[in-house]
Amino acid sequence: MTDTFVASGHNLKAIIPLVVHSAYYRARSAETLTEDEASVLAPLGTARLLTPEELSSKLHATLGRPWKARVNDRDQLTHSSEFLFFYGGIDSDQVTERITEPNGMMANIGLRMALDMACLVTAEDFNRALPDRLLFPLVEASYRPEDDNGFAVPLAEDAIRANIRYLHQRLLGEVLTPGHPEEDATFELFLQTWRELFAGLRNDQISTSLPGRCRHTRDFWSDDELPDDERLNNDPEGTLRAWQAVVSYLLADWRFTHHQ
Amino acid sequence: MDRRAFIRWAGAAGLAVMLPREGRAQDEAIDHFFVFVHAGGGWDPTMLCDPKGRRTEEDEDPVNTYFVDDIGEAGNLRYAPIGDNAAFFNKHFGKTLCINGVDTQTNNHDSGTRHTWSGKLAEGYPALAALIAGVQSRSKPMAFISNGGYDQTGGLVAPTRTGNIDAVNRIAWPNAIDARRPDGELYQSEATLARIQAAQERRRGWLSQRFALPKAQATQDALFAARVGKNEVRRLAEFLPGEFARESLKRQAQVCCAAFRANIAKTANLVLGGFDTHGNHDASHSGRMTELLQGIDFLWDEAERQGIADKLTVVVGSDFGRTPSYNSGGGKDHWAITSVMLMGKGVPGNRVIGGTDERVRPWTVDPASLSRSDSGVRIEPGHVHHALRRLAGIDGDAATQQLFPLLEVSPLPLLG
Repeated sequence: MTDTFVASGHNLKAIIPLVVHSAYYRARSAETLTEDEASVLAPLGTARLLTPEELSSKLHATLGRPWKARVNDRDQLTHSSEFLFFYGGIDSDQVTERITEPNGMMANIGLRMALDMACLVTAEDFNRALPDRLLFPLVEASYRPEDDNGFAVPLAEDAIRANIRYLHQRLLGEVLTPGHPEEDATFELFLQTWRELFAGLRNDQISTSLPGRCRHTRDFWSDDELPDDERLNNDPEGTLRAWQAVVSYLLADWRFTHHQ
Repeated sequence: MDRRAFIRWAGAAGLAVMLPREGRAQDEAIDHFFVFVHAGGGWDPTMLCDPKGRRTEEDEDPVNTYFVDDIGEAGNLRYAPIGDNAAFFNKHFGKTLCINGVDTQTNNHDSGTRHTWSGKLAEGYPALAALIAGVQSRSKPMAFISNGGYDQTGGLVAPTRTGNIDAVNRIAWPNAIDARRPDGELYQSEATLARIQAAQERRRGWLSQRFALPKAQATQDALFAARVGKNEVRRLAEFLPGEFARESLKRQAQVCCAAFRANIAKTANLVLGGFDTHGNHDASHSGRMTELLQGIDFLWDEAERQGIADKLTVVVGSDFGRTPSYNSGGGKDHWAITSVMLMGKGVPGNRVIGGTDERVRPWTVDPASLSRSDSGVRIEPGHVHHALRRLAGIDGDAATQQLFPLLEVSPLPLLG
């Protein structure tokens, strides 16, 4: 930074971007702090709950659509007749202060958002051609972590783990190295959920059909119904619902619902 | 930096600091609820409980267009002969205390609203609703319900807003695809949902280490604390009425009474706007006053229906009052002198304290007898807050006294 400053002829314009991008300026963490240090450092960092509008934009940016089942429905987060006020939003009239500390209702809205969005986008994304996928570009719905006899399928597991790392980066901004404990934890969630589903499917205790809301039967943006042969209604291997669990887990994460 | 300095500094910096307090058990029954009803925009007490009127049609600068002879009486209360006032006061005078001639010391909306509901003209104090909930019921999942108005919390408690109450079922049952059928189809099995929540809990440790700055820690703690109370929201859905009222204030009353009945809330701010009638005052203000009183009457009926009326105190106030004269547009402008109405539990009803002269200038009152006295004190919102803090049982709370003292005024025996 010093060298750049000197090389630029002591031009402040050259150094300001470097300062702003420096780890010190964009402090994300600190060693264990004493009470006094914590007081002094209280304003440092930018962590805060996203507003309903910001969270809606983030859903759109990462998942390709806002939180609503059909394009002409009301946005669940930003419409005043849906969750806007419950989630701390304002109308700039009678409600002019945002709620910045989540309460029990907001926690439930966050969970419903995560579960519903995962339901709405998982089959939709798997129904895209691989290069067009936003969430699952590295796996197919047929990739099972274990075969019928319960033995691991290494190539499938590698692809599933790679897609988990991809999702951590896309949704949470986390770059995980292969074998990272967070990758392991998310894979474990996928694996255990898939095992439960697969066992249920084999015993006919669980339907191969996806719940109606989670099927991909209509193009979201045009609102046109898809031809029968282009729809994705079923999940015979249980993988789609296992991926739904993973996406729900990540969307409900502190890093997704908060600005850091 | 000491605790007090830190809190003040953090407040000035716009930070929400969750004060560590001993929260009471979530299932502890609440025996006293508070509702604060804000008439937004600055109401005109001379059209409510501090009536003036005019003697003849020839009065050149009357305070009101109704006649003095038409002013009504219900017990010891006097009321303006407009709208639903007669029905309201005749029904509720026994539980109503009117404090007239309250000096908000401002005619600015923000500072007047702040003074009325925090007891302090300056910035930085929480709304009384937040203070009571924060001190006594912080662990309740909807301890402080706010529908707007002044709902600064001072970091004491997270407010809960209630929007479209049809959405409450979807909030109460987040894993139910159709929330009208909680036992129907789920997004994830209960086992998978438990697995997701266990994974979240495990990840919390990693997040806490990775993002260790105080602000990041505080938001993580707040999120996980909120998740603890999320299932309590189902109790609200259990007690919500089958049909909701069309009027906003009545709907707010239905939600807060259901939350009280469910034992998940302690205080609530209710809000009705539209009182800032700089033009066409009489017609506009009368309509809003009618809606306000109908809403408060409905609140009491709903409290009876939910079985919590004997545990309820209601406080009704506004930003400030309105001028004794009409402007050229038939409106009334801002006036610092206002009234506050208190009703219900712990309130000596059928009583009027304080008053104003024929031009809505405040009396001063004897600090002991509260009777009119030229050498007495002018009633301010701080006096009302002293009394309400005592009524709520938070006047002896050490942290409240230290962080949010009401030093500008000495207590008056407004509630006995």
